[in-house]
Amino acid sequence: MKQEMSASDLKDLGNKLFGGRKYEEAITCYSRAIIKNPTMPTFFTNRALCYVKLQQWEMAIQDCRRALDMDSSSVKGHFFMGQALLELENFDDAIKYLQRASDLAKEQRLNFGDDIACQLRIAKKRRWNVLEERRIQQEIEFQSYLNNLILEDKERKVAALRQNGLNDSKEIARIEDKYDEYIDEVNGLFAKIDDRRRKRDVPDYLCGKISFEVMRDPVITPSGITYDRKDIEEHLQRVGHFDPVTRTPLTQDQLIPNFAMKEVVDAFLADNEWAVDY
Amino acid sequence: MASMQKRLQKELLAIQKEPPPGVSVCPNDIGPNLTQWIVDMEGATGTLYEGEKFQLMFKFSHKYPFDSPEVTFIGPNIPVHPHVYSNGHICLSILTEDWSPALSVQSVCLSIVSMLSSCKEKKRPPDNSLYVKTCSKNPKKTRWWYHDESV
Repeated sequence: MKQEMSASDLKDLGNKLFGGRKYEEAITCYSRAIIKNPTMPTFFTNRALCYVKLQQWEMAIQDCRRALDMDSSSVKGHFFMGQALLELENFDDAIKYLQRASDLAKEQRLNFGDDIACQLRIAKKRRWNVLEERRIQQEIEFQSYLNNLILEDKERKVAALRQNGLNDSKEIARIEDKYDEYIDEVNGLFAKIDDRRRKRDVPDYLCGKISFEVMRDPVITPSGITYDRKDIEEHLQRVGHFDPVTRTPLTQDQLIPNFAMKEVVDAFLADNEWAVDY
Repeated sequence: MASMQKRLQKELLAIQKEPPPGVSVCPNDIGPNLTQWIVDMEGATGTLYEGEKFQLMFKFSHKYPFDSPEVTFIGPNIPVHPHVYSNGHICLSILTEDWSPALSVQSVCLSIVSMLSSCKEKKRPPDNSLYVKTCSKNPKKTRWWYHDESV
């Protein structure tokens, strides 16, 4: 390397190395650029991305933090931070940073494709899985606690009868039957919850007619059919200029955002986080 | 998972839950990555094919559902039908130029069931022997002439 390279030259060289997947060498370049000029947030976010590629999450987080201290509206700073936090299974913070990255990208009209949204969905789904696992554990604990309470109460009642000198076997059998019923009922209720959990399904009307997935950007055609934008656009480009369901002529400029459907989808997902990447 | 596999996964669940009449899919007959399915089909009661059993092979490219699946009859019993060649190729417009990504395995099966059911006379297409000798292995490479809509 030349002695007289400027900070921005070093950054450019780092970018080139990054493009060739030489992440460690790229990090060296960005580090030298930072020594020359420690006030450029992009040097830090670029180095952070190298650390993400090398799966050195803590280092990535450090760089993102420094970039965000200088520029609190950096999309990349939030995005890579969110990604690293997600890998460290700090889901709450990961979601916060990824959500902010997504909002900032929209404000600044930067196009990251589906990358940020995709990470955000993964983070939400994984957080949900962890919470769900915890909920199931708690339910199991609660169920066995209730079962024990009922059994103890039964034994107390039977013991009380016996203590009073009443050894009426008919009465004891009646009590035992009643408490067995209680236990069946409790376990039945828990089984129902479990069943509902297993039968989780996304209603067809929330899913695109092409991808069969939950619609993220629903658009409606003049025929009144709603599709996910990316799928209907791909169809128009690859298959032909017609509505896939009704087969009437259709062009891209006829697609209209279906905000009502979007609201329905968002409301469903808010109540059913397990479906975020359905 | 690629969106194509995600969609095929959902189609598989749907067809197992609500199969069209006479149609069934055995999980063992699903190829790797869901790109190849074998579907069992029975001739509907009250039709010329009552009591007969057929097998359909579905092959999906990575462009599915924007590209139609390749669908042929396979196995020992190929239905004798004016739109079905003795090598299993099917002359059905939705499988080529009239394909739409809103169609599915379910709807293709339904179309084939009703194509068979509406048949009035069991016979091979008139150009069967020439076609079978000269055609490509992939029926999607054939330039089909869709003679009539009635059968």
